[in-house]
Amino acid sequence: MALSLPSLGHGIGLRNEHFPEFLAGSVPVDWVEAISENFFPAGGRPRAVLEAVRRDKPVVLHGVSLSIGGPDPLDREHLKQLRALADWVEPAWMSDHLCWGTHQGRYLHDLLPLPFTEESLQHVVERVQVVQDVLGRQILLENVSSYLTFSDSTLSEWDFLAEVSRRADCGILLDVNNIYVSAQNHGFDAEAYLKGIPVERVGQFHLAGYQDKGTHLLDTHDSPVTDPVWALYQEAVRRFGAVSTLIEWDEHVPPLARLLEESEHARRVEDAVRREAR
Amino acid sequence: MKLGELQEMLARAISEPDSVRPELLQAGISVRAPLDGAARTNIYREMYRFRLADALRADFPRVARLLGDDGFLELSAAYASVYPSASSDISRFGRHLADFLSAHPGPRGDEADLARLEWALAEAFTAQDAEPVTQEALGQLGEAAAEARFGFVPALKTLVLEHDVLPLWAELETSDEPPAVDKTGAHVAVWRQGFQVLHRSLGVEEAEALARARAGATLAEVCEPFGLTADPQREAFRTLAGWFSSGLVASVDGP
Repeated sequence: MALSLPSLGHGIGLRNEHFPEFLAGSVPVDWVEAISENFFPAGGRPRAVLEAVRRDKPVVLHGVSLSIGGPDPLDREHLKQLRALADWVEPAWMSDHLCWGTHQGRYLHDLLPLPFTEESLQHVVERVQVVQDVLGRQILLENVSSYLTFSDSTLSEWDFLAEVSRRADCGILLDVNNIYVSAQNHGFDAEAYLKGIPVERVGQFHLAGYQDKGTHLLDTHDSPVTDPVWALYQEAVRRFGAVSTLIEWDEHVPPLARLLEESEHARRVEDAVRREAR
Repeated sequence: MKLGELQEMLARAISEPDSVRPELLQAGISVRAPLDGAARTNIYREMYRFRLADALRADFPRVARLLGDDGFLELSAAYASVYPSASSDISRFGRHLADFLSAHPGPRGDEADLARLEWALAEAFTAQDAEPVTQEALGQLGEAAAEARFGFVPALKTLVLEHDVLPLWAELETSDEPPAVDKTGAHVAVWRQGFQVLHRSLGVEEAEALARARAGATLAEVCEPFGLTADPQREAFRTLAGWFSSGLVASVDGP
């Protein structure tokens, strides 16, 4: 079954710092992405804000702890909470990361890379199918920024991601910033990455800022999108068309107006690319 | 190396670095100048340390302020080695910190009670919503009110502390100069009214009355602890009125 998701336009993440504006219903944005785990608790302000937002705009749920490639069995309690949240929110779609972050019951709360091997591929595909069955919907998997690769890898990251999406029949959340960060850290061609991803599987883009640590780039989500990432986003729009795009800004969160400005910039970049294609 | 072995190696290298032989890391991880496998793993190790400390700091800002950056980072690492995060929701990570501090007291000795208070505040913030009832609900029972039993909002928590850390909690909001340790014990109620998380100390009689009420006692039994006060009826009425006006009571059931 092919992925069939509408383009929602340009969205931002739902962050504590902007709760008052969202509660007041005064946020001019096309759609909103909420971190699933932040809304697991049953009550209080976070739930009230999400309730107010979902009445007004499309909401997408984005998870950070699924550990789809992890060595532990899938966390059934986590899946149960996700399903309950999804039944309440009725999100436009749900996503998590192509990575792992648990070991022997311990959550490392990180997005750890996988070796790109046939063994990993089979492991991930089986688990995505279980998750999609439990959630009753296709999910999108996001490429992560990484700081190491494994000697055992036999596939490129983009071939691995593409093959997971085909075999598991899931979608792809393409993080353009993560592609750039990993390309710099591991020396691959970011545009080759884009060309390796099947167009019909991509349902969402992420854009964010990173920090240059001298020896490597660190995906920090604490600053504006950089010029090279805007350039790569242009290429992504040329290849994949108008795809729902979200600015991630999770640390040193700026005033809402600044975040919206960044989102509007993404809209202008997308519009310009689409005009040139006509 | 099999996938599971590789993951075991990396997970240990991040969370228990001394348990992994460096040559294993070098063999499993690709080298690309200027960073070798160990340096690349170290990026994840550092992020792990700081991420857990940041998660704790979000729920225990005053414990963090009391201990200072280095002391709090040290506490976070020691705590994680005994109570690693076992929930997909990182905001649950701190749920054993007060117990850990009881078993491993800090220099002041009241850090565990401060952590206990801060954790109760954090839990109240996202506790299940409930619509409180007003005092009218009790009045409607008429003569049967003496047999009434109370239900309370899920956000309500009561704490029995060995140290009265309320002045410490208040002072640390704006100051790095903590007041002296107060070894007087304290009973504290924590709850949420609307979106606002509140707390206050409870007198001995009120603490006992609230404990009885939460355990399902009748109104008559709840009022007994006020029997030795100068004006038992007035004191009991004033206290119960306070529970209603503070939004603590979620239900009043007649006999």
